[in-house]
Amino acid sequence: MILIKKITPARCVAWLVLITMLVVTLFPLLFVAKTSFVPAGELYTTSTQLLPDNPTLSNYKKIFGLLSTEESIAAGGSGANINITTSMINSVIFTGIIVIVQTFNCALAAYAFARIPFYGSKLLFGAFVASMMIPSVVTLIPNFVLMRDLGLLNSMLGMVAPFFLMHGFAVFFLRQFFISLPKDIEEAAQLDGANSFMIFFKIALPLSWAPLMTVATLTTINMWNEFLWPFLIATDDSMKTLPVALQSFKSQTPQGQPDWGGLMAATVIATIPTIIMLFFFGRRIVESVQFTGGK
Amino acid sequence: MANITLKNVTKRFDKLETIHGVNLKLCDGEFVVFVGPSGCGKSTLLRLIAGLEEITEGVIEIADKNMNNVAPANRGVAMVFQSYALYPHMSVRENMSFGMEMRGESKENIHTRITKASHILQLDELLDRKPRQLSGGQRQRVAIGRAIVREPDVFLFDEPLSNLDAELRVDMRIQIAQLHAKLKTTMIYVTHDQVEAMTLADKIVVLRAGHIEQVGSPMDLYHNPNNAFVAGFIGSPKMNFLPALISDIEADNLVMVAFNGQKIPFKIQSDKLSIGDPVTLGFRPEHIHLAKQEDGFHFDITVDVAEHLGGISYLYSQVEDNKVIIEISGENLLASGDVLSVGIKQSDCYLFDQAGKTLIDRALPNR
Ligand SMILES: Nc1ncnc2c1ncn2[C@@H]1O[C@H](COP(=O)(O)OP(=O)(O)OP(=O)(O)O)[C@@H](O)[C@H]1O
Ligand SMILES: [Mg+2]
Repeated sequence: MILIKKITPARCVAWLVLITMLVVTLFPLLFVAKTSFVPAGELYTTSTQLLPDNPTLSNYKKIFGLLSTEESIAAGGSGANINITTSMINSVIFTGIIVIVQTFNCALAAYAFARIPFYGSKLLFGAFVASMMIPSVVTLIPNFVLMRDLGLLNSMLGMVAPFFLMHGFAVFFLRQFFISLPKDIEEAAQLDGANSFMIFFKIALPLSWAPLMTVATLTTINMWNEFLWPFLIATDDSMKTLPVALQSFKSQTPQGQPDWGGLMAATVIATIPTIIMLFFFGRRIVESVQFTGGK
Repeated sequence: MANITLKNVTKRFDKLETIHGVNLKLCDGEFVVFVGPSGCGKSTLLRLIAGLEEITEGVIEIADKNMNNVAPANRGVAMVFQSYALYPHMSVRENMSFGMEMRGESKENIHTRITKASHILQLDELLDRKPRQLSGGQRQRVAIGRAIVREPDVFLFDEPLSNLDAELRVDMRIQIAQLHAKLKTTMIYVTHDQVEAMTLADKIVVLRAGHIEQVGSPMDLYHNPNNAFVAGFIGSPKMNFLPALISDIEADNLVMVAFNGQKIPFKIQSDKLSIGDPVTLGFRPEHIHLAKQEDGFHFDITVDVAEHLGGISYLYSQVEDNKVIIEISGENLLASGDVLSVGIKQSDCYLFDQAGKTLIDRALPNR
């Protein structure tokens, strides 16, 4: 059944505002997408148009290394070897490790905070919550120095180190959920002979599928777009993640003029996973943001 | 053998004491019901026996073994929760097998027990469903099934029927009674529904504010309540209480009780009474007659509200600020505003002193 809601003036205004905001946010994305299909020579002649005159895939071929150097230069590239495939793989590994390990760790910690009384648990939990208030730039330098001294520069371990163990928000969010799980169910399991670990794995985790997915989705998007830390720590081309590769892409061109077409094509590729995530888990993300009162 | 002994069991939540030194002996195979008003500590006592709460003082023994430091899973108890507490993500079968798997029972054993239990509880058709696909009554049966397959020494029920509608409740009550007759396992059942208590129990434990008020068989409590609280709690509708006086004390413990200008002798073993002491006269709604009784009290009432249920009717009235409920046969279609004279036999009367303690020993009816 389709519910047709009454059209009221207030509703019209709301729609108008939403549509305006949508246009404002989507327009640059559209422009990025358009530019990625524009042949190099026409970049400036078509800059005021919404659609390219002669759409081409050469920008995409270029960034995946499907064109020879000459072809690439002819298509307006720098001729430099951009390896978006490698950085894509790096991004997937980087994001994957962090999402899996961090979500699991945070769930363990959150469950302990929610259900297992131990000495100092309140204080420790307070520390986790407080950590949410520390801007990450503050820890950037100390972390960098630590990684350098540990010899972890340009290594995957160094890249994931500040993220993959814990995340204050995830612990807070999941703890809130675990507290709301009916205690009876866990007590029934306790009477059934399950210890805390069993209850966590067999009861609490399966019942927390939704919040776990929310946390994982948020982390995926954040980490996929994370720039500063990988940029500092992974300077080697073979270790660069997508956002870092995009950045170096921009500054790579010898003539001092960025390869806009290639850059835009790479940006489109880098955005696709995020868009897919939003498409499938958008509602979850909105809920979690509502839960925290904005992030 | 799973007799249960509580010795001076005390429970404090932080500073707040909610169970005050309870002593109780329950025999093997008994169906024991804990009743009492909300917040009196029924659930807490049950959870202490289950081991879900730690006891602050005292000893709990099951089958003559001290259970104070034994984990809930190793006490040989199975519990049915008010909320059912089924595992929502598991099928009915998995719900029942979970505990046995945790204990490392063999596959065949698990299968046999589930088949047996689901047969007893008519769950055969539902084994592959998830709890959310079941009705309230079905969930309740699964919860009981999950307890049965454990083959415990003691079943603990915490208000298991309170989420069911009236008809289903009667149904399940009978099923639980049959289950007890079949399994002959010790069962402890918490309820504040006194009909459930009366119909199911071998032994009723009446609790109030963390104390035991009385322990006894349903008939014991009905006919010989220790005090006005138990008298008021057991029986439905509630017992009526009216003020009376000691007017005379004669030889052979014969005490004259005056009520409404009438004096009737009662045999009372008490040396604390003196002439002029106020006492409370108690009588049950079902013991009031619409005529003066030969030996007994009588008084006039005006009907405020009349409820006709068909087979029986309840008349609500007021005697000097005290509510009086009368149960009469449904043929008498009395209406509000009617004035009638009612009588109570002396043998149907209960008497309590000012502190609420019972004054007379009443005989149990013979079979
Ligand atoms: N975890 C707890 N912390 C503090 N106080 C508690 C706790 N559990 C129970 N109490 C208190 O103990 C008393 C007895 O509670 P309990 O749940 O045993 O009552 P009950 O007889 O089961 O009542 P009901 O019929 O409403 O279920 C209550 O006053 C309650 O507030
Ligand atoms: Mg209770």
